[in-house]
Amino acid sequence: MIHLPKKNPVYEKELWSANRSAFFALAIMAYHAIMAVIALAVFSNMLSVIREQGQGNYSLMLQMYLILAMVECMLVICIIPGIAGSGIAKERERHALELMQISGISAWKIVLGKLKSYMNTAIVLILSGSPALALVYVYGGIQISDFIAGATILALIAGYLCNICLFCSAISRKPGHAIVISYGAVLFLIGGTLLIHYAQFLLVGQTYGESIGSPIAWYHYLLLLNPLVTFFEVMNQQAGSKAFIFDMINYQGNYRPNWVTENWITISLMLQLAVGALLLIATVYEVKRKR
Amino acid sequence: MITKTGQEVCAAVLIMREVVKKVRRHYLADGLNLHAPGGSLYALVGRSGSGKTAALKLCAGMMDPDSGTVLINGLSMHDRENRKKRSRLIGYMDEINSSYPNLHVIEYLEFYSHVYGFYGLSARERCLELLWMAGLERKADTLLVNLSESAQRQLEFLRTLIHHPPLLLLDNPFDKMATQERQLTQEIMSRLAAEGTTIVLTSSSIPHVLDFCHNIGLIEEGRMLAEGTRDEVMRKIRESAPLYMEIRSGQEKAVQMLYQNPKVKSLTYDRNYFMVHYSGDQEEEVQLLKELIDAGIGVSSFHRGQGSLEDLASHLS
Repeated sequence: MIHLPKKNPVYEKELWSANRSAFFALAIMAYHAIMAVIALAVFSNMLSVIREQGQGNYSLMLQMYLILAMVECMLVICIIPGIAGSGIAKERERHALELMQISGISAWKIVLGKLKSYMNTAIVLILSGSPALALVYVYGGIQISDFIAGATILALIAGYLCNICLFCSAISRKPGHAIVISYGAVLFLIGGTLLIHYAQFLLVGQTYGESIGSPIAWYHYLLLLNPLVTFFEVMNQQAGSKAFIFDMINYQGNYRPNWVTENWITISLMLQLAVGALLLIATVYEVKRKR
Repeated sequence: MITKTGQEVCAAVLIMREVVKKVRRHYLADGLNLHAPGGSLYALVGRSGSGKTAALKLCAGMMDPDSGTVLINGLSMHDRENRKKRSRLIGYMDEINSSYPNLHVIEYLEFYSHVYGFYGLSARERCLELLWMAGLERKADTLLVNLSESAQRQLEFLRTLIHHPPLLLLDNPFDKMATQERQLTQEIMSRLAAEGTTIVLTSSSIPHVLDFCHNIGLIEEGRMLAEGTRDEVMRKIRESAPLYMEIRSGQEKAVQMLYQNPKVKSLTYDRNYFMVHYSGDQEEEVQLLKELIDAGIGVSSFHRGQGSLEDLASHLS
């Protein structure tokens, strides 16, 4: 007799439920509509430039890829808190969390089931966005391996965000509050870290670093937690700009590069994965504690 | 104990001993004792906020007591090593429907079978069997959002039966249930109890449970005021009702006699009309009447009022 591997029941239930959810359908529709409109606008703009100049400029294709990939990343960042933000809080509100726990299912299984289902949704979004990105292949310039690497890193970023949102939903009692807290946390990661990074320059117009070759100030390293910066760095490296992150940190500065700026992608991804894993453990603890 | 169907079951399935649970300054359970014999249909009744739900949650392990013990088949439910066993022993139904609007009826039951570790064809068969039992087999593919509230309550009840638990803890199961569904659910409960399942339920509607429950526990402010078989509790209810007398002559003597009677708990009178809280049984009532008449008191009317669980609760507390 063949024993099929048993699926996580929470994951299975989430899949059944999400497939019929109006929010999921609307999110996918909005995501594709935005991707398609932007792709069309960028592509037609590129064609008009070619028409005016009378010759093909292949760097425009690269720009189009960068714009579309960044739009895709931003859309994923915007959609994930909406989907994952209320996960645990909603179960708690309908008393299903307690029921599941007294039925013998572990808090780990509940949280991992939820995480798997949200990751599933994120991967569907990332992969289904590929037709818009495939417009680049009309003229070429980007390898399949670049596309795979970009999608993989976006999936890792989605996992990081899902863990943040699950934690926010575990510490909230109401699903509405959980979604607000999730969006707040993501907004801080994206906008907050950028604001801190530019704060000194914006507030006092002061140049970073007292003298040429100064070490990078600690608060710029908060950008390591910013998934948008990580993804932008990946895209820039794919486009051939190797020193983007240092240029960004050293904007109006006197800093000298170091091993962190040279290995930014690896370090930021490792750090984000570590933070994600810690939040996952904290979520499980919260689910157990707030029983 | 041997049930009607010949199955042997444990004599005492659920016992709560001196359970105390305090949340902030409020006692949810204040030295609560409960004894639900095996195969019994036990109704936990009391006013809203009296601690019925808390008692069930303490039994189900959803709350840990500050002190006291909860034993199911002799196993302490709050010991770490018994937690796995607890999930097999208990079927818990909440007061609130936990259903997911986007799931089909059959998917909802299947989800919980998977949670209990039952997969494949046998799990599906069990779910279909449960739906058939409650007459919901035609609604197997209906989305829960399209199911009536009454049917959703039924489904919640069926969910508790998936893993054949020997103890069901049902919090207000008949709330929002239509008459037909309620009767059917009561039939299922009676059948399960006859087969040896112990069912402890709470209810806000006392007449619903008085009719078909074997044991009744009356709870007030986290304490068990009265507990026993239905007949015992009915007798207590009867005894908690006051005696009404109309006395035409010898009122002063009657007052004197009634005050001297140790079974008289309280006495209120207004001219000819007397209301007496008397704790004696029917024979003692006859004796009291005889004594009053023998003493030359003109008793023109003598009868017990109709008691209720609410009267008993206020009388005992």
